[in-house]
Amino acid sequence: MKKNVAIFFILAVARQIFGQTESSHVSGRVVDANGQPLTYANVQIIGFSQGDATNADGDYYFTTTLNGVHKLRASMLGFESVERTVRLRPGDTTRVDFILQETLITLQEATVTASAFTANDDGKGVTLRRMEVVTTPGAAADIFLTIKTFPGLSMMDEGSGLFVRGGDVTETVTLLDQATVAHPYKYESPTGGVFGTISPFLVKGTFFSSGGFSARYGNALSGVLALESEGMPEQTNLNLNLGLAAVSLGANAVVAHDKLGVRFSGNQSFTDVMFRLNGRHDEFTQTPSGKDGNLSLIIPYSNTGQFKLFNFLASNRIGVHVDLPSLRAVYTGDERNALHNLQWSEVLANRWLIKSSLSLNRYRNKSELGNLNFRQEDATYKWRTDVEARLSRRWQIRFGGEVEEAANRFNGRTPRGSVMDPNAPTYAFDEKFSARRFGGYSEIETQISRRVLISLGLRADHHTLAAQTVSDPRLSLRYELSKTANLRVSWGIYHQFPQPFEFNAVSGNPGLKAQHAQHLIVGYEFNRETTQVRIEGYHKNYRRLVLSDAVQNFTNHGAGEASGVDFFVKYGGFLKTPIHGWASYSFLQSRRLQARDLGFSPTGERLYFFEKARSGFDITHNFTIVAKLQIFPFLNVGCTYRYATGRPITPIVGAIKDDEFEFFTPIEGPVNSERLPNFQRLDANLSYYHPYGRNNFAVFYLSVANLLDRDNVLDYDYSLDYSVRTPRRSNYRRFIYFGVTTTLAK
Amino acid sequence: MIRKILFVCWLGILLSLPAQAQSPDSLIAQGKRMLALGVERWDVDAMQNARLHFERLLESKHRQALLHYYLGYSYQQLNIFFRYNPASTKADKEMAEKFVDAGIQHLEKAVQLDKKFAEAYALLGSMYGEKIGANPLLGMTLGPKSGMYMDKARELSPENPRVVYLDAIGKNFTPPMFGGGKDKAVSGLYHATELFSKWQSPDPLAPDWGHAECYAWLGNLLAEQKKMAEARTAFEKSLALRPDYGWVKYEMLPKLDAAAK
Repeated sequence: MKKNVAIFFILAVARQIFGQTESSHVSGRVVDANGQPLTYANVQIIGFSQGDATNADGDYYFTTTLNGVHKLRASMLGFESVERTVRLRPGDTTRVDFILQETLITLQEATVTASAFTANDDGKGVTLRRMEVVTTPGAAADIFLTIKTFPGLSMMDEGSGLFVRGGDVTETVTLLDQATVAHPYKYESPTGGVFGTISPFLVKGTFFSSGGFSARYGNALSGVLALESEGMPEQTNLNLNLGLAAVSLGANAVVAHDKLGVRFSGNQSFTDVMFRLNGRHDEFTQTPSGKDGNLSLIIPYSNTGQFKLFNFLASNRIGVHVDLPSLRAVYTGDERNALHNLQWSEVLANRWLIKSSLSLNRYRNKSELGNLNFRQEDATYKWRTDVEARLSRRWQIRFGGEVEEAANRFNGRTPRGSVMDPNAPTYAFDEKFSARRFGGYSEIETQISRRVLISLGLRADHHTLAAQTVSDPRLSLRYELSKTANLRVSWGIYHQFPQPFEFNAVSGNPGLKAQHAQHLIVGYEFNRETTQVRIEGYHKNYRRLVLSDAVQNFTNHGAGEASGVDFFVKYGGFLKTPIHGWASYSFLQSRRLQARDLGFSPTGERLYFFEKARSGFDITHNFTIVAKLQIFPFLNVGCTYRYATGRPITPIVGAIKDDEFEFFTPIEGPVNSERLPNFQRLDANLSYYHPYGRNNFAVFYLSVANLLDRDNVLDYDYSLDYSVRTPRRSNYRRFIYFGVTTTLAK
Repeated sequence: MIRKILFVCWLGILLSLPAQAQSPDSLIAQGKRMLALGVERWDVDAMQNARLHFERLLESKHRQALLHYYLGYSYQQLNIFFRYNPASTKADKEMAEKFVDAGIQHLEKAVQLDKKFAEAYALLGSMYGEKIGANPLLGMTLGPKSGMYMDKARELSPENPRVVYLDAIGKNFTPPMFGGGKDKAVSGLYHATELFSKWQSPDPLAPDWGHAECYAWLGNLLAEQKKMAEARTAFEKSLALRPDYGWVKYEMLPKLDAAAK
């Protein structure tokens, strides 16, 4: 018993000794920048749970058993955290006061670069939600056509081609999950295509930049469209769409207890009935039809790691009467497009996000017109890895690399003279080209002060055919004027290599080098819960653009500039406010050194005259307004109005007859000295959302394109001897489409 | 002798540890008590302090999923306080919306860390329901999400009373065309009260709230259906569990008495 009492006594004394000697006290006050006390701020020792919350006077006090040098942090929702180093001594009371500044920006949430638009369903600073893309009148649920309602995009025609700030459609690159989508358009044409290949229903996030984009994107002079495919399905469901011209079926399934996700979709388009209903059927020998399918497997193998296999296949056919003054023929087109991409993503050490992808994009197009028979086969292989990490609250780093191999093959037969001459002799051709590009970049984004974010990047690209390495510095700065307004400046050098076939020794020039552009953008943005306003001015300098040449076929002598102002205002959001929509206006002036075709010399040489004039993409005024209104619960009406200055055209002022082949070679007047009539179009739609069952719903929709039946002129066609010019008119006179889409959830 | 002295010193250090730092579990239990008290007394100060207490505990890296759950629950209760408090200003109501978003973030983190955390799924589904409540236009996009999380919770723990209770509350605010309705809510709440009385929490730190609230909501809905006697019974049971339950004591019961007169 005595022994037990002794041990108890010793232990009690020991506890007192060890327990008491190590306590110290921390107290202080937390105030805002105006000296006002902050209530419910948290003050704690970093790495430990010891601390206290401030009271109504901003005071805190706590006792800690920690001694020595520690870091103390004060934090509060809506304010910048502040850290202070303190030395805690047993028995002492340490006073530490804090002044917290209101948070204006956070590195993770702010877009530093100018001219960026995003479309997805989460995240801050999102310009458009996905449902807004789907419900935009006149956009046919197409990502590209919706993006064309943004400022900086020129309305060159009614297709989906992205002509960005005075740049050609080829100057914008499209990516999906890091893979290059070399052919992003359906029913391709020199101005892009009719629709985008990738459906918005396959896409979770969209990032579009009309300039000043960061170093992670290369080989693009004007714009970037980066898409991210859907990830792991949240639930199993089935989607069915039945429209006047298409039927589609999609399914998403979660398999094996979140270990495997499967996404499938199939779409068959048949426009026969639609064109009959709209009185345009006779224009076709084969109404546009196509099918596409997508199968994605998502395998999350851990909380942070995932494999995603994305497969997309599409085929489209068309046969259309070409009824020109010079030629009556049939154009047929048959294209196939396939994209396979395996992407791996992982977060290492809770900090490093790594994404790596291997992709293949195959494209084949067979087209015939008169005595032209043309077949194109492209394959783009790519490996790309991106790494990013947040090094601290104020520093973020990104770097990565890519290898891209582009192979082109062209074969068929082509007339020696004009395609318009049905009797012109032809010659066969079969040519293959391939080029490899190696790229790498690194970029640092940092918040250098409470108001300023800076992104500094450098990328380098090497091209095997050009035998050239180029380096592109990029810089963006964001200055926060207030919680709702900021100024942004972006500057950068951009390079884009010519297409492989342009290096051909016979019809091209093996000595071609990368084309060059320099962007400078200054913008102001105001962003509040339901209202977004953006004004940007920009200037682009082009150098070493590829230009037609009489002697060398192509040279790098092209140059030019584009300047303009973009204005964008948006109010509300789909299913967020009863009325929502946006308006965009762009003013653009674009001039380039261009080749004027003067026909052939008496000795048979092609004659070009080079002159600096407005570029073919110089659409001075572009105005778009999109408005959507919920008139009753679940019943929505919307309209889109578009106005654009007529596209510049080069008039044909004469023609030289070739006696040998009986065709005429046109003589061009001053380059782009005339314009088409101004373009206008009003589209409208009506949709009714009908829920049934627990998580099921159906959407009935009716849309009318070109509601006012405006007869837009898209180009001019010429007679065989170029003496008669007739306007080529829009295919979209008043045009009706309707259908229903339903989702059945498990 | 030296061995004995060393042994005594070692024991001394060991016993003195609780004095230096409370165990992480006891700190969670402390936060849980603080939050329960705040909810019971409708004391925003206690709720805020509980929230900040849980935020500090995140630094300890201990039972992170549970801490995120309690942060989500704290934000849910703060949202309720500021949204339904008659004294709330416009700024308070805007703050309530931010609390919902913050709560959702924590609950999503909780289910990310513990994919079988039925309680967190149910609360997450309920929080999305709160967002729809604040802006019914969001129902089309968030309704299925809310339902999905609730389904997941039911699938993981069909007999958990809080899962059934939150599901029933959700049904109360969901139109019949979407599978909700008052009748379904009432039958769900009855079922939840049975489950509450049988529920044995497997973990002392696991959530154990909701029994009194369940009776309060049941009484409220029964009163709406003019079943006054049943409503009174439900309110009384609620007060038996939580004698100082202000919502029932000062609002529901007096209203019931007034209606009876």
